[in-house]
Amino acid sequence: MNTAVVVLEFRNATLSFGGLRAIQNVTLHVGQGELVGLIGPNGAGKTTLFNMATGVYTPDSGQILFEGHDISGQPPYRINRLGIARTFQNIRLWGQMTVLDNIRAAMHQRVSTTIWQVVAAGSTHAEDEDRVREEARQLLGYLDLTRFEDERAKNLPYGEQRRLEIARALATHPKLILLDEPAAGMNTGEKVKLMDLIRRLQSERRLTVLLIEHDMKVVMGVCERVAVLDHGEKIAEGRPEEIQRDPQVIEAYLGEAPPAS
Amino acid sequence: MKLHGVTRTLLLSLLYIAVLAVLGQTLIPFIGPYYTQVLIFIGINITLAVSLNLILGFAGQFSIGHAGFMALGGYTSAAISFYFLGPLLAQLGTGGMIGAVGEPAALAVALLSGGIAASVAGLLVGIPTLRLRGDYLAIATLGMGEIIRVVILNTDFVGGARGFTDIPRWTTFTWVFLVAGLCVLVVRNLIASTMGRALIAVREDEDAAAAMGINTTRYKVFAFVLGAFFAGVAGGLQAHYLQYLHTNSFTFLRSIEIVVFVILGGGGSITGSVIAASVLTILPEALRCAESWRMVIYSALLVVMMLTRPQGLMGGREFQWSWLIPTWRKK
Amino acid sequence: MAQFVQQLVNGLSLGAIYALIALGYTMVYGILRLINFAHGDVYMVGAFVGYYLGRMLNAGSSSSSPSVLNFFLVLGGSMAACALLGFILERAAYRPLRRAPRLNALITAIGISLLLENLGQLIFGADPKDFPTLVERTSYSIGIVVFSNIQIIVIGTSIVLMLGLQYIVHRTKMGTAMRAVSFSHDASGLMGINIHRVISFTFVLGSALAAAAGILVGIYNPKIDPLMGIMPGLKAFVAAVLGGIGNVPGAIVGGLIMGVAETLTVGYLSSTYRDAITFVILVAVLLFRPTGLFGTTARAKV
Ligand SMILES: Nc1ncnc2c1ncn2[C@@H]1O[C@H](COP(=O)(O)OP(=O)(O)OP(=O)(O)O)[C@@H](O)[C@H]1O
Ligand SMILES: [Mg+2]
Repeated sequence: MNTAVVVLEFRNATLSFGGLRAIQNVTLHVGQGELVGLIGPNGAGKTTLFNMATGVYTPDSGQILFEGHDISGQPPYRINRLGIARTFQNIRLWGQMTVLDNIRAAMHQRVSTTIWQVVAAGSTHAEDEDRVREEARQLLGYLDLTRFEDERAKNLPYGEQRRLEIARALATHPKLILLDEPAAGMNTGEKVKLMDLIRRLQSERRLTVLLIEHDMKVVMGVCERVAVLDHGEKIAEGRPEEIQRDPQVIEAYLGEAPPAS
Repeated sequence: MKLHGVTRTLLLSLLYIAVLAVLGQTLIPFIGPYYTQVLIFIGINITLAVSLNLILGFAGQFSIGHAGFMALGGYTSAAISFYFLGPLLAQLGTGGMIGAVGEPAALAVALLSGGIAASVAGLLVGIPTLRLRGDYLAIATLGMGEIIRVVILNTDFVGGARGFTDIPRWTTFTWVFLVAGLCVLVVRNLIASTMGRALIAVREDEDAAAAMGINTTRYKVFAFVLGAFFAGVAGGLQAHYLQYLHTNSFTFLRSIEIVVFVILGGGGSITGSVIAASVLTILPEALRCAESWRMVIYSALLVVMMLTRPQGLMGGREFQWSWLIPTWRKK
Repeated sequence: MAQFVQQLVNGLSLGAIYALIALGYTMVYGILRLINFAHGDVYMVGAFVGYYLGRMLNAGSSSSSPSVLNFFLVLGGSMAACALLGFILERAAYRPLRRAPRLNALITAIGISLLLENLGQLIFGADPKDFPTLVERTSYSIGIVVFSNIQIIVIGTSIVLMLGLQYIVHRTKMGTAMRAVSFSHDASGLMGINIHRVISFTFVLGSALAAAAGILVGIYNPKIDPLMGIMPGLKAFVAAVLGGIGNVPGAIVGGLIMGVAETLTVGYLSSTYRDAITFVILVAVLLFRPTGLFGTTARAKV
């Protein structure tokens, strides 16, 4: 077990949809500054675990702790303010808004404002607005999206949309970021860039990362530790090399496409 | 030179008020009561359309109970004028200072009360129903609007089924367009602000907005309450112009009419709402002979628009001052 | 007590009519997730088709006396006409919007509804019309509870139609396909089900039932006008929501409850609250049990 401070912890988390046990008694830790992978066959419950950690679903039983406090049952917006941000597997950008506005809307907390200021002046504290625009542009630069600044989000190429999702999540100043299949639909070149980005999130931004990914090259390439879900249960956990050799994991993927590696 | 923020807003507002005052003194006596009435209805409909656009077009909440808020505002302001402000003015007499400012002041109080009553209702209705999404919300707001109507219908001191008569006639052209201008200003400034971006994010994808720390319920309720406020004020203006209120003017069909303004103009475009509300108020007047065809044309237009240009006339775009600058001056 | 039973009998007759309309709402919602606002107006058209057919038949028959045969002819003719109307509406207005945001489809449905109402006013005239007498009214009484043969026909016809629907949905290939499509469009498409045809069929079926309701209301409460569909349409929709929208037996139970609630309100409170009770029920359901009495909770996938 990692010696670092635990940031996110699932304690015996369980969740059912009607008769379907989507998550069964899952216990999982993510330590400060760690880069953890979450893998498993389709329908294993990976996204559901993210949804529980971000407040979309409340566990039927068990707890979810963030920095030691139970966050289960809290609404998503509050969990985000505590410091957890996410991307979505099926890209969910604000399509009609420009790329810059996608970032600025995610930074709305950083503008102090009252309704009276808004009504009287149109734009609020001018310095606040300037600062937010500046920071948003920096973030776009960081993710190599600057040239799309005024484009509507829905018009971006697929790979760029995935990166914009990451940029938007970063705009909320998280401590922990949950990435749901960020490499899906990317070509090899984009994947290499993405892996570099994920490592930089950890090294340069001191972020803790939990990553769902089907592409084993990406998982094995960036993750320090990997947890495996199958049918809602955690069946294995360990260093990437160990996981690849684990008979239970190979079993779980049989009948599925075997993990490409 | 580029003006910013408060200064610019103030200057534009002063200019607008000055123009209104001049028009009120010169144009209105000149064009006579019929055209004045058409103008007043245009102003009221602009207020209704722009305020509903905030809820429907910008926040993306499909409310079809706007007429209910309008009714509540109308009846509240009328009751306050009829039972309280009117007698008070009569007592104070028509001479001197009171005579000059009495009526406008009383109207302002009445309109504000109507707006507040409607926004309180908006709050009470919004908090429970805005949890519902899409078509369920539509049906719930429809139900709420109808309930408000039935309650008024059974409230005797505002006339019940007989209607509310003898409301003082205080609404003027200038007042109507003052309110319409204020509504446009508030909505426009709101949308251009950080709150506006959050609101549009809620419309575009509510789950994603919540995941990015936006308190979606709060923003939705806020849009709902502000929209209801202006609908209530519009109701007050109508009451103090026609001097008569009946719940039949505030049915589901009236709500739909306002929805049509917003959709045809383009959800998310204030310019579109203003144009659509104006044109669709004038059109039936111009087509008096084809009265029976009016609603047929309306509804056919709605369907055809949805099938061919669902983004509406303006497609979310807004009027820019630069449109007025001849192209040869642009670089 | 007797008054209560009397209200119950009246309420069930009214409720049977609401239930027939509610079935169309619930089936279309189940399959398209669309509130077909125009459905109440299809019911209105059904009543008017019956009006013209009935007058033709009554004028044509030499005895000029009402007969049960005429009733069935009118019922069948009107159901066929509205089935065609439902088919055309779906084809022309809803199918092009299959991939559009749901809001657009909803607004289109409202537009179609207004169009039918206003065209109705132009074509049929805005004034109420007397539905031709198809069946002579006779009243029976048990104790002091009075009921008429009309009520028996209304309830009987509704039961037969509902059983027929139940048969179609559960025993035929098309019915199986309907259930599959309402479960998942994508999966049904992959299984080789022609989704467009299933949706068309659903509109045809729902519209025919609405037409039947129009005829039944015509013989029960013989004043018809082009706006007659608005309120019953809304009430039937509320009935569908109450029963759990998308749920066929739920729509029937919901319709009966709405009918009884309405007659009880009129009987014991005041007729001015006749329509308000609908919305009170609606708002209560939406707030406390949005999935309705028989609906199952489904959590939105993220
Ligand atoms: N809202 C919901 N309602 C009902 N069932 C759900 C819901 N969300 C997820 N499920 C079910 O829970 C199971 C786990 O789904 P989940 O999306 O977490 O899988 P996953 O591991 O992310 O798979 P994938 O790799 O395909 O993304 C699946 O069987 C899914 O159908
Ligand atoms: Mg997933």
